[in-house]
Amino acid sequence: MIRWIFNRNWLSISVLSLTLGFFSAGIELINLNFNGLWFSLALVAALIVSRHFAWASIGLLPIAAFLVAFTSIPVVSLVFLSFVALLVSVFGNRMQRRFVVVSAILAALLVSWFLGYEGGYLQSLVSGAVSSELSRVNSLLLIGVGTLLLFGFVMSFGRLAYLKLQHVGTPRDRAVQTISSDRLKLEIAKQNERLEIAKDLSELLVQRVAAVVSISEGGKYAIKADPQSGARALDRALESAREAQTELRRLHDYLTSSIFSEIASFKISDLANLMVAYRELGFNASLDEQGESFPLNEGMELCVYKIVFDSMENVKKHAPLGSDISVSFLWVEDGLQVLIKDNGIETSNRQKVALGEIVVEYGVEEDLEALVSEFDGATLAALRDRAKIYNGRIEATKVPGVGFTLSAIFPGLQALSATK
Amino acid sequence: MELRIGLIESNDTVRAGRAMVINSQDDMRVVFEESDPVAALSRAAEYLFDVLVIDSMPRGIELPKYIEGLQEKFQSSGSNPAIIVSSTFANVQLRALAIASGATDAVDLESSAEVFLKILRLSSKDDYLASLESLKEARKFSLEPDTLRLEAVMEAAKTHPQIVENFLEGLSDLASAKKLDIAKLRVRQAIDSLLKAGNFKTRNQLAIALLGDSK
Repeated sequence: MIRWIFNRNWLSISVLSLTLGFFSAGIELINLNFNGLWFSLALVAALIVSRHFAWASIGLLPIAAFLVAFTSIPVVSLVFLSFVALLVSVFGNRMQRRFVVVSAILAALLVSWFLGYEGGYLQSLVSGAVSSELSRVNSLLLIGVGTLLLFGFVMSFGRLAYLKLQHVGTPRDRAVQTISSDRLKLEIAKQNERLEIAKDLSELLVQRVAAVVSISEGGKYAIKADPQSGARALDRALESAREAQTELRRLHDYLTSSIFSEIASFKISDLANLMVAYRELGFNASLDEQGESFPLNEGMELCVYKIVFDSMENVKKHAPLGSDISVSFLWVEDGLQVLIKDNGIETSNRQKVALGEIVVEYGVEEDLEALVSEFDGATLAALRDRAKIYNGRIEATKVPGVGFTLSAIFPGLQALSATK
Repeated sequence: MELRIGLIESNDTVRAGRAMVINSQDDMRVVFEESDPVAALSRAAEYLFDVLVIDSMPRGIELPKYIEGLQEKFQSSGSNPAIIVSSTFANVQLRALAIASGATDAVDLESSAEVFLKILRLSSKDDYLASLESLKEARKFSLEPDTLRLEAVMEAAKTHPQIVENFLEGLSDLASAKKLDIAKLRVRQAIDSLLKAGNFKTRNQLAIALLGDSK
């Protein structure tokens, strides 16, 4: 329930409030107890504001508790009312949670007085008539303690459930975390192994270079005493230098090949599958091409793929489900432009309006800001570095009220592809 | 007099280069070469040399144990060559470790051949002491001598305070004797008595112990 309320915002709160309100009102109407409808009204009001206006909810709690005495089945009404305490303890901040405890105590006192002492509720349940002072007091105490226990239980339960959700997570969350941490551990282990191999290769390289230095220096000294030894020393130096070059080449090949093998051979044509994956996630992803494409080398294909991939990952992070993501390839005579556009802001606003929330329209200021402001960030910086390899340029802009657009321009890419 | 140099180095080309540098000099020659450090442990004692240059990473054995093993072999055969540890790169910690383990000093391929030859010549003298910085660094790697030994050394040092002072300044026995206007033999005997009192194998180890006490 708590996760449902988390994800659905006003909708879930409204549904819960109305459900309980209708239940409560229904009971009162069945019993023809029109006074009890005031409680139902107070209950709905307290519930509906419990998430976003917790202070109002805290204030309404004692009022609703006072009105419990007028309901047909006070026990049921108290249970409904405890939902208010539960929701405030889940969604309220620390101060609000403290105040709801005070409010709950006050509510319990009011309930115990008006229902227990004045109303003699328990006594009337048992023997049907309110009799002595002692029984009133007993009634007051029992109802007061019972109400306090009920509120205390639901508040504790609510907080515990929230903490479990936020910090422990569901089994699915834990499974995702486990997979993610296992993947990271594997990656670290792989990198460590790679480092070890690189270290071994570099040690061999150090030895070879040391040999070159030593024999060259030795030859320099020996040649003074015996000119013939110079030739021998040079031969050995050359041999050692070649061995050093071989080791260096091995190290270089190992380091570069391991990078390439990791990210495999992603091509622009693989983007079609990416679009399908995003559609399955819930985004309206589309891919289109204009102009006549020209062949790119492996590195360029990978570069373009990574730019699109990272941009879409960014959209997934910030835009709500249902947003449109369009990826356009514009092939011109010698270059390429890739546009990744989303309407995350527009979709988000639309959803808010549908739920009855107020959405602030964008104005001239936002338009002006969009023209001059530049976006930064680790992802964007990485994309810019990637594009620079092939003389490309990345620009990210915000379209006010709509979303974001990322443009990657590669002028002269065809000529570069021919040379590299 | 020609210095007799031994080379223990697993890299044949490095060893050949070092040998060429040494043999090009009139006052020294290579009398012993070995690529396998473990084999060298048994063979080296059969030879007589003044300086032994060993690899800083002997295969199959740790450097401190290797130096200790060599010293034991030399002691039993009655010789006491200086041990110089040779590495590819200059490394303060390696030098300190070598000195603390009983080596006379360390050289590296980053230094020129002139420096290498200079250290060979200097270390062949009985009164060679490593630089003060190296000795101070070596304190981190050396085990504290037991209290009795240290006390014995300190007691002995009290009888020759000026000699000890000159010793720690890095003065040779001759220079110390000249400064104090005494015979060189007296200086040597004083230092030998300190070495014996503390059961130290090298002057470096004695200096480390004396430096450690004078904190």
